[in-house]
Amino acid sequence: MPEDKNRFSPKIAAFCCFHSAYLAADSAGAMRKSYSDGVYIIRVPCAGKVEGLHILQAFEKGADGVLILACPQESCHYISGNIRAKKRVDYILRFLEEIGIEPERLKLFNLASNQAPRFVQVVNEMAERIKDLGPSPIKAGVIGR
Amino acid sequence: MVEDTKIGVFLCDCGEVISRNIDLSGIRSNLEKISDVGHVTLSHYLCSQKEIELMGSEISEKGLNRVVIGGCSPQFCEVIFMEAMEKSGLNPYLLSIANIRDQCGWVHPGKTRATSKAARQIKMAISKARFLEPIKKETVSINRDVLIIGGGISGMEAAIELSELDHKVTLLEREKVLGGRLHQLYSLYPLELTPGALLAEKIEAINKRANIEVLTTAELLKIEGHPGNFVAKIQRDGSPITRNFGAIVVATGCDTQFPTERYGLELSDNIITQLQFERMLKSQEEWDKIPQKIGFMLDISDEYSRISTISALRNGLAAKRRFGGEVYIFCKNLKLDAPGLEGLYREARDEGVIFFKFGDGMPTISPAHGQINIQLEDLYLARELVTLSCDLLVVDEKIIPQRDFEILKSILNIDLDSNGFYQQANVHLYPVSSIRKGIFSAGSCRADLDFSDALADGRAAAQAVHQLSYSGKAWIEVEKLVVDADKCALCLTCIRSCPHHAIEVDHEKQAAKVIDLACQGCGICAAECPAKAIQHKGYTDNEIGAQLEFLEEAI
Amino acid sequence: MIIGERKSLEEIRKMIGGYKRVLVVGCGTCVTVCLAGGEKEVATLSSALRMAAKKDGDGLEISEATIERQCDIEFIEELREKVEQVDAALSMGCGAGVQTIAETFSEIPVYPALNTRFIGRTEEQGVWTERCAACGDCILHVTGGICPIARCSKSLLNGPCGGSKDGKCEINPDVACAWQLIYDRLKALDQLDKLEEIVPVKDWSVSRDGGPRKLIREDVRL
Repeated sequence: MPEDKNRFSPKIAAFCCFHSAYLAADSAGAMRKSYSDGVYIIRVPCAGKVEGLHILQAFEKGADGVLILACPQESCHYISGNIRAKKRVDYILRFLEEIGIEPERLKLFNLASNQAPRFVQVVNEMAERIKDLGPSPIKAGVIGR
Repeated sequence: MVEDTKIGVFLCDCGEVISRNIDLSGIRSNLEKISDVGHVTLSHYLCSQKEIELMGSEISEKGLNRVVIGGCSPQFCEVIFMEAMEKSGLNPYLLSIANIRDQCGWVHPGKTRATSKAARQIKMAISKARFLEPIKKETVSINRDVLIIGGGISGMEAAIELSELDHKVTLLEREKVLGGRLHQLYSLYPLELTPGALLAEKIEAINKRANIEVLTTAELLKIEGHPGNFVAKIQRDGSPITRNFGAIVVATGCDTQFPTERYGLELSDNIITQLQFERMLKSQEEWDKIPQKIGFMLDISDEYSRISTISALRNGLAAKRRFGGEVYIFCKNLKLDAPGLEGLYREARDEGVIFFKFGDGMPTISPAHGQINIQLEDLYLARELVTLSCDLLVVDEKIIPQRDFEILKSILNIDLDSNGFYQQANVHLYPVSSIRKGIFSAGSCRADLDFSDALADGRAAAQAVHQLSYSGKAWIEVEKLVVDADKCALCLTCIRSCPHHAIEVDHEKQAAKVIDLACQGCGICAAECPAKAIQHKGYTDNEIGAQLEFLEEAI
Repeated sequence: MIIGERKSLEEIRKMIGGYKRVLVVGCGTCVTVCLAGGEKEVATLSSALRMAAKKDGDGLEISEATIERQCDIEFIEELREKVEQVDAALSMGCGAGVQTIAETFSEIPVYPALNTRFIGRTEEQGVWTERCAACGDCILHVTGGICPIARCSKSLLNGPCGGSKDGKCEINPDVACAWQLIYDRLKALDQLDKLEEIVPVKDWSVSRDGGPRKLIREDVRL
């Protein structure tokens, strides 16, 4: 349904580390850099705070995509939070595969607080990817029922 | 939701910046319909003195027990509103902020869509607010006394600085005398001061101060207690000493190593290290024969070390001045990225020190008949093969961690980085902090630092200690990470995963216990706990779940 | 402790396929500690199951519960109310847990969500290794505290086989030869003479060969 692609506005839960991505989003605001309005930021103290369960819950509640935005690789505010986040995302990706949710719907990116353009790029690319994929298959299931 | 919530929603248009593409009045009237929203206001500058006072009186008059802000980013306004709540007697942690300016008004053109997103953001904040729990703040006492491990340049400098800031300091040195590496250096050129004179100056300063206790031939055996209140067991000349400290500075220096396998040859009478060369410069008698051609080799042991460049420049100049003769410096890249180094390099060139720059191909070094022949492809001379012979070749060494870092690491319960040096809490933001609160590191035990950097590092660590303990007390958030002892299976996952080693076993309760002063609030423990026994207030499962509710609605 | 590992979602879904209401039960003891079946794993698996069902258009209602220990009936009894509301139970406990639930509630089928792997210890966070085979006749006192039953691939009792090479077992170069470990340990303890003691043929009747085992202590029976 190509005509639906334009109408479909994906809902993306973006868990943002308050020491990096959250601040990058703020400066994207200050720079008036527009991005997809389906992106909702959920503030977390560290990407390492995001449990696999929370990611699954987001999908269960109807997210079309989930973003985990963490500190840069060698420079996590809490030393290893971004590494823990990465490993958890990898674990949940296997789960998603078993469930039948496309792995492209869950992504982790590392970015620093001063990387507003990268923040915008990452969320917009995510939104585009999800638009191509269409609504989450979990929701499709509901409709099908 | 343990009690009935009465939520005050305070909307701010940020001087009409937000209302430009968000219909705040429309949102406001919808919010008034929510049953547990007891108050909604819309103001121009919520962060102004007048509005904040007004907020305070609304909280107390209407008995609001949750505050939701719809406005700018918490990075700008959170502290202000928390203070206002505290003043009016409401726990400041019962605050939830919807960042509708930075994350909506400024980034989503089109009033309809921006308004609907902002409304949803505020609803998310309200949903979260319903689950917020208060956090108690308490003061705990912090011992102002400081233990410094290592009496080298960084340790001595930290001791003097802390003593001047009125902290009692115990300076622990493994050797019989203070000074560390200063004993081995020949010059601090271009400083006029000799290492010996600098050392004497520092020791005099230390001896003058009554609040510095120097313990030589002493080592740390054990640390008990918590940040702010450590108990240290020290051994001095075989006898035990116990002292209490609030903070610890590790300044144990580094070691050097000649990597035989990298060079493919052994050290000998005429292939020596920088430190050996400095020792020879210091004591004039050791020279059997004055070397006429001296070569300094860089970038073979460690391509990234600035210290090697500095030593080669200093010692090359000294050799040139003292012996005349030829001085060559062979390098891949000189590291001159610190004040004064460019000048030192030019001075060396002006004095006639000759530089050869090689590329990825390593120079061939072959000792023959008391001479060292060096052959290299010179980058400046269009890759021409240059052959030189030296009477003496001074080689660079690798800066390596000291062998006892591993021991000290386990005594202090801190971490080492991938190179074996003390792990910094954050290379950029907190270079002298270790992963554990109250424990700091300074000098070459944490990074490849020159002598002047090491001095500055000592002072930086002293300031960091002072910042933590100057008042002798600290505010803590009590049980921000709260452990449900009934659920805790003591699986140790949290203790192992806490990046700040801030969790321990509470043997009385048979559960994990977060040390509030040491906890930095990342929440990794809560995310790892397999029993769901740890909740992070402000980010509990309920609070996160409530924020995810927006996903259930159609956009 | 008992080390367990979650089965694949596919296998679990096959087991509970056709049931509309399922209770997922966690256990707060061993499997919580080995991160396989505690309250969080219960919630995570439940969420995944709900989503998978939703995606395929199957109606599936899941309730969750985690109890202190699945191998004691008193704790299992706490589930009764919830069990009455479901068509099947999925236990995230070890094999003993699954069976205790099944024995307590004969009215519903109980399925295992984990594979019970072995009795072992945490070697480091995320790594568990086998230490005990529950053979019923411990000889750790002669073998330097290293169990040849659980850790020698052939469970040899009187020294290594010919497959021990450079301290490693022939089955896999990552597996240490238990008898090498025993030798090294006894040498360090200066107890090499213990190796000269002949361990007699093992009485396997106290192990699996004797049929299902039972232990009775009259003194503590009520």
